[in-house]
Amino acid sequence: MNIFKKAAATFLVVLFCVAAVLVGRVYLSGPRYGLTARDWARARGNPEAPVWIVEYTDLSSRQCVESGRYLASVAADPLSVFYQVRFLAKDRSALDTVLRFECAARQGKFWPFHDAWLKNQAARINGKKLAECLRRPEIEEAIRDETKKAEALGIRSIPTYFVNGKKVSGLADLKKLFDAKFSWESV
Amino acid sequence: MGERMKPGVGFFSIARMLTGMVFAVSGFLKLVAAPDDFLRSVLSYRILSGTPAVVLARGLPWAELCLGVFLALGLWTDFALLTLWIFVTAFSIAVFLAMFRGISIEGCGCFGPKMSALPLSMTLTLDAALWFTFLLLCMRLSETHRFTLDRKF
Repeated sequence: MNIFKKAAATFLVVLFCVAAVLVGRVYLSGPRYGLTARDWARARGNPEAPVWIVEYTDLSSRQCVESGRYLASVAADPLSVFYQVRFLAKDRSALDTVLRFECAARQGKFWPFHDAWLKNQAARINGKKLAECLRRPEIEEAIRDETKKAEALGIRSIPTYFVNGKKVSGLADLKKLFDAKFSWESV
Repeated sequence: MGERMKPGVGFFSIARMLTGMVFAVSGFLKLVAAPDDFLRSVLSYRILSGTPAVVLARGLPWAELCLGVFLALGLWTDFALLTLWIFVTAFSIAVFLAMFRGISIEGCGCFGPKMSALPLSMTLTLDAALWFTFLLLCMRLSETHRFTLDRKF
């Protein structure tokens, strides 16, 4: 009989622990995985994957498009790679391109737009909403702010990557990292 | 009449409860923090990677929380004591290896992201203190078992 009482007590204690964690997550935790809703719209893969790649790019540049294609191929496995795109728009042309991506993201169409862009195809997004979005000054402000933050991180060239927190500049270095059969020793 | 209090009896029960609470708090803080924070701590030791690291990062905080509460309450005391002692031993080895290999680790991952910025030498000292507390608790098991829920069942 005592074993049943002990099992019941154990169950209650475990239940209390689970409840405490659930309540704690509501009241004590910050943004999930440290990402804002805006970050989530431009991220894909498993956030618990062992490899995190943050790409700083400007997809108006041919180099960045080429790097984007390479990254799409190496980051194809969503279980082992978490891939996040951020923008660095230094000039007007870059800003115009990035604005389109930002507006696509606000329609929840960032990845279709991104993938279509890399393939030189037209993406299926709402053109009217896109045009309205492009006219909003806060969108441009958000991109300028993102660019400032990237520059504050010491990013001077594009594309630049952070692979598990390690800064990698340019496609050649990124390829070197992955060609070396990506391992923790190399990061 | 109840058992007569012997010198040191209170000390071992209190040490058991405090040790249990340390683990419960440690597990709780990891569980309410962003899950990738502890995963990054696990990965930073460069011992595990891939699925084993993810499984450890997800499972260990729950084990710490539940076993810590068990130890504090004195439920399944021996099991909780032994398992947590193994955890401390394994963690101490991981910290020692990190120091030996010269790996720079920003946060030990001990108490969630906000309270993990301890230098490795300090972490190792705290682990050693915990390890010897476990040794003492195991050496004086009968006194450790005072004021436990186990005695009610």
